[in-house]
Amino acid sequence: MATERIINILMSVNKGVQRLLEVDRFYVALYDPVKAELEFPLVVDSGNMAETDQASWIPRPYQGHAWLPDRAIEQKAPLLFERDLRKRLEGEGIRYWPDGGKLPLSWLGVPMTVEGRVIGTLVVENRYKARAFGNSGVRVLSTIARQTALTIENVRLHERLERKIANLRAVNEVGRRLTLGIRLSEQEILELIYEQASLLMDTSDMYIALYEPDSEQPDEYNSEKPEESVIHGTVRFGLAMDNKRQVDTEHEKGWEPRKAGHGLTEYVIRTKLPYRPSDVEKAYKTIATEYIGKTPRSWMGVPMMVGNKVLGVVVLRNDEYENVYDKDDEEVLQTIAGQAAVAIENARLYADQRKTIRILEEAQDKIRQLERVRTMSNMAADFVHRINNMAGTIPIRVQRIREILSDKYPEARRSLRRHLKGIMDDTNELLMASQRLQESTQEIPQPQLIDVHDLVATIVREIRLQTPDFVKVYDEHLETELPPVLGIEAELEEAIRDVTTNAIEAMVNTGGRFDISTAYKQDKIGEGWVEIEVKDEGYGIPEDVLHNIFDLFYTTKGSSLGYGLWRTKNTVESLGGEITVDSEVGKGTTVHIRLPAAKRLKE
Amino acid sequence: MNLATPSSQGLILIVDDQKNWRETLDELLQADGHQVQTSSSLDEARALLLTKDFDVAILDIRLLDERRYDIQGLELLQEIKTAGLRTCVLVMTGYAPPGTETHVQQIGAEVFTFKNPPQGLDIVQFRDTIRELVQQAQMVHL
Repeated sequence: MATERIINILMSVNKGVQRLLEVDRFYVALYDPVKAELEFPLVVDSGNMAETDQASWIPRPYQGHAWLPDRAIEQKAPLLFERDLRKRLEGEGIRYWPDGGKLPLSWLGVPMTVEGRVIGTLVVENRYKARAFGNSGVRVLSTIARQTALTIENVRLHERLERKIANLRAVNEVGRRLTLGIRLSEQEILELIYEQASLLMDTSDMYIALYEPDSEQPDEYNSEKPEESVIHGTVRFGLAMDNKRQVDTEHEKGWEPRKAGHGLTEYVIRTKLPYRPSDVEKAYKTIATEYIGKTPRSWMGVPMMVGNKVLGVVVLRNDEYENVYDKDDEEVLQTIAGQAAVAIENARLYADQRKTIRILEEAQDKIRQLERVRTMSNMAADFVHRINNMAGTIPIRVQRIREILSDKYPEARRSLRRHLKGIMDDTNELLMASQRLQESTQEIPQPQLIDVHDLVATIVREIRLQTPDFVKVYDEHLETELPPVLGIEAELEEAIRDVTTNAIEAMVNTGGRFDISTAYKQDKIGEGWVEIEVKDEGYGIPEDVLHNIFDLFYTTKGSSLGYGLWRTKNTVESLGGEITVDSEVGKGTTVHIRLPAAKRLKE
Repeated sequence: MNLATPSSQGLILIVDDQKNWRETLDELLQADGHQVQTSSSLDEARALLLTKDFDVAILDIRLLDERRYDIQGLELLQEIKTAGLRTCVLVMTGYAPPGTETHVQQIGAEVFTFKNPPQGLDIVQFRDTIRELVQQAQMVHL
């Protein structure tokens, strides 16, 4: 399309033509080689501007050597007819254009050429006079044509530059909006890309395909020959416009998600490069065996890349013309696609993060709830203990009162008995209720996620404070990045304390080295374990009793009758773990606890 | 005290950190004619055991009220038995995990009883038991 600026130039060209040549009709034809079209931005008849939107002067297909002004373009040289126009046209099989008018006596067409490219032609006619132009006329119009061509080309370059700047601004705007839209959903991002691309180019036929690699079968990219890469993922159409109509990609046939096959879209995914075939039909025959609905005349696809990863492809299509997309369009689309890819990746990361945060919050809620239950049950246990202690003696006291008083006041014996019995019954009731409460508090609350490192570190800090100097505490092998363990923290704490206390006490007389270490390990079947090792240089456990040490009330210490290792073993096993002990008399003991790591939070 | 003939009245030690229990058991047993000494802690009880020759010791298991898993009473029991004292021991407790009774008897306690219902203290039976234990201890002494 000739812009206003070009029409203005042509109007001043017209002034020169009118002054220098005997002309009663002057017109300009501009040639569009991509669309193979001629347009007529200026027609001056008898000094008057003609309306260029009437039938004869609307843009029409270029006809090459068969039509009259077209032939001047075709032969890239001036074409002059000074007399017998009709006869000569008939003789050479050329058709005069425009139709329906009287043929002029003189006709001269001079192509406008820039660097060997023909961009159009200037035509002068004289209906009343033969030999109106002559060789001098050809020279004059040729000079004008050369200058006009140069000026038009300059204007076009200038306009292209302006458009590029505008594109750049628009693309920047896309980027800005996408960056602001960190909380946009994937679909919202696709719509924003479409909306922004529409400002820059013809998007009446556009789609955005998203690519998701197969989780089990990784794609095999061939960096030497990218077109031979093999991909196994799925192509899903996030958004599609077909001839200005929004496609319902969820339900419309042909647009449903498909296993990556051999379309042009997949070609872009495989090569990770923009693709803009000059001959689409050939491209479909050679590299694409699948396509959606139709073979367009123009096709351009650019990958949406994040790093080296293809998230999808943005595709523009045109059903009417070949090669409507140029390098500029490709660059603009590439920039938009790049920004879109980053935005989509961010949106996905953000969505993932939101999900993780939600899971964590739920877990935390659960833990808080359990914490409350635990607190309640501890309070209840304490209450029960106190009731038992305080009220437990009432029956004994009542019994004594009964014995003492009934001897002294025989006349009051009956009512005394009744009241005392009442107190007894009430007390028993109270104690039974307390007993039931005690039983219910023994239903231990649900397990929670325990940070073992935190727990062990706390215990070690306390040990350092309480341990005499001749026992040296070593804890440099504590793994800080332990996964959590599922259990009841207070129980696990007690279990670990029992082990560490044993180790320290074993060295109270001899002194020595106390070592505590933690580690995370995976076994052969991939299960994760949190390991805790406590090592002392105490007196050790004789081999013949080593197998008894986990029995209830067993002790090597003589003075203490701990529930110690029995309780530890119970706790560890209730968590699904194991406890083992190695010991040598006179050398020391190593207690090894391993606990199953809690499964990582998954979706 | 006439050591030649076993009597049903003896010298009894009550070890319990709870004042009301010490008081009521003290009163009850004195009413039955026993001589009673009370103690609220492990150390105090050890000291008493060194100075006097008790017929019966009544031991509560948990002597540190603030410690849920305290079993100092059982330590005292073992010390009594290891030292070979003739003192008969009755262990009583408000709460104990399963298996405690067997364990307590293995260490050498003569009697184990709960303080509270449902298996709680039967006062009549308790008094009889104490009387029997006194006799048992004095027989050993002979």
